[in-house]
Amino acid sequence: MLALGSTLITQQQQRRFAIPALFIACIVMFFIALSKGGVTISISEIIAIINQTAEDQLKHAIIWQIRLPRIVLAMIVGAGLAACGAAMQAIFRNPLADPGLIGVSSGAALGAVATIVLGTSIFANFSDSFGIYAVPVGAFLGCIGVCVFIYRLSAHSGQFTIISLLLAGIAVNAIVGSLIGVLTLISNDQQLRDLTFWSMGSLAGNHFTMMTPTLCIIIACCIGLLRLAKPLNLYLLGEAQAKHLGINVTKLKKQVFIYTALCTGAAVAITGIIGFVGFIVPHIVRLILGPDHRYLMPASILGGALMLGLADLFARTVILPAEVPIGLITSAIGGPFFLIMLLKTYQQRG
Amino acid sequence: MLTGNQLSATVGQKVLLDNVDFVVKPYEVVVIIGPNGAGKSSLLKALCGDIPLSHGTVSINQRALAEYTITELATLRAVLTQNYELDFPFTVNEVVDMAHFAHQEQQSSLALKRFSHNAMQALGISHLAQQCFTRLSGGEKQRTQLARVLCQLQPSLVNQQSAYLLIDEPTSSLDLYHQYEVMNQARLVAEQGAGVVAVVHDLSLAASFADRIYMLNEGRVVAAGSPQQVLTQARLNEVYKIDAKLQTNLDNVLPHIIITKQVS
Repeated sequence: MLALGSTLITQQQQRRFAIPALFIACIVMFFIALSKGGVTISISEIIAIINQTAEDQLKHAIIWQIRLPRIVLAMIVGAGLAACGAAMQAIFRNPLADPGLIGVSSGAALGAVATIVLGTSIFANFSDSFGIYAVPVGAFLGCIGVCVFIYRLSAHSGQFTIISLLLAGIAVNAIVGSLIGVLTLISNDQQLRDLTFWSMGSLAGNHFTMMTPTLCIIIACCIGLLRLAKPLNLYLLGEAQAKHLGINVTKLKKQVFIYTALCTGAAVAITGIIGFVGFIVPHIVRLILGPDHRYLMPASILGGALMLGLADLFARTVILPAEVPIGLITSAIGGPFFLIMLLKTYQQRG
Repeated sequence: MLTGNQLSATVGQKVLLDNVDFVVKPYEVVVIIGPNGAGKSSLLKALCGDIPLSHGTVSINQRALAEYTITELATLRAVLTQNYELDFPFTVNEVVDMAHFAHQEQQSSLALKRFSHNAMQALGISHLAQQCFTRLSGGEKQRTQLARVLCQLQPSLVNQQSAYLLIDEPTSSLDLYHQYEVMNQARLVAEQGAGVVAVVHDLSLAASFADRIYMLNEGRVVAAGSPQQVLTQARLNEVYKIDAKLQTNLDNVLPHIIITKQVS
């Protein structure tokens, strides 16, 4: 259970220190990320720029127009994905679950791919009226549409069972996958390139006006999920048991579903598919802090912000002036790191 | 008073419960017995409101189950089910503390901590408090879950409010000592004013601790009353197909079932 400490006393200490430590790490990472890039800007310059007292217009533009929006987006999206991952793992009572199970990713992909491929023909009106927002809006609508469909399929006769949710999710994901395949087949070279890059994820090229709705939705959903920490703990005992302890289990499942769909949908719409954060961050936090959601949820939120922030810093600085798709980085760092944690845990168990 | 009135339940074509009447009052231990598939667990689930009924109503203190909120029910009764699916590495103490949820607004956290402590002491698992639940043995897991359920009832018992404890085969993976110890705890809870309903397989155990016994067979109550009234030789033969009788007349010995050797 423990990866870093060997006794439970240290787990309690870890719990007490983890959240402040992660918070400080996030702030440090935030300033490092602001200063690093094609142009290195010192911390004192950054403070001057944020206080609007700096003279250098170029550096001012780099911070306000490029780096700050991007870093804020990376951190908030990372936080949202990790919170949703933690909630999904609880609701499926399975540490391998992730938001993709309820159709968020495939729905968003369908919406985005449809907008990219059909944007010049069938959806020309849609593309025109939303302009540069067309792909994010399409992705968000696709995500919500597919989630509503899965929700309807699994909520029959007042019940909302996890097994029917899982089965509906698998079936709908398969259908949506084939639709994406058809769209890919009829796309031209430029569209194919666009949709391939969309599916690898990117945090680049967003400014605050475009991000604001996404950020608001994610923050609201994170707060909602934080408030569910205690019920989620009890839910892990089993549905009947949680009900006997005073939890409205059906309502809890629906709340988690809605928060996860909105939060992941908002994130995926603007960044494309960034895998692994939602799965790996809660898992690592659980290895260190244990399964109690009162610690797991806030620590996952901070850990997600930290991980995606770092991954993005890496993505945009490692092969300057080009950059690596963020989804590749999260998988490339996350996978081995996760394996090391897992091996350490098994070694300690003996 | 926890009452079930003419309870019937079916799954597909199979009849789980057929017109069962059931009562448990405060200060008594009622045990449900019967052969495999007789409907014991179904009756307990029906009394909890966990399975839909095709006919009949369950009520607590003359008020139907459906009229209570989930939180009200959680302060009024605690349930220990047969299976639990906890695969996440909570400590024993954390599992017991989960009982606090329904009480956290009425009780101070200090009082709630004391309830957890008492419950763990009563079940003899205090030394396991910081152990990881998933690594316990079957018996230790069962005692942890029972401690959680006892902890959930404590606030109501201390405040002299009515409380009901429903337990489904609490002793199925316990050794002999702990079987009797767990039933003793159920007895103690009843003495504090709770109504206890337990599904038990072991007839000797049932006879030792029950004030009243309901014997079920094929979804129907075939007998109800004191252990002596229910566990007659004729009925054991008819329902369990064994030639056995209840022995209660020995001094300083708990009642037990004596089975005659089969002569073929």
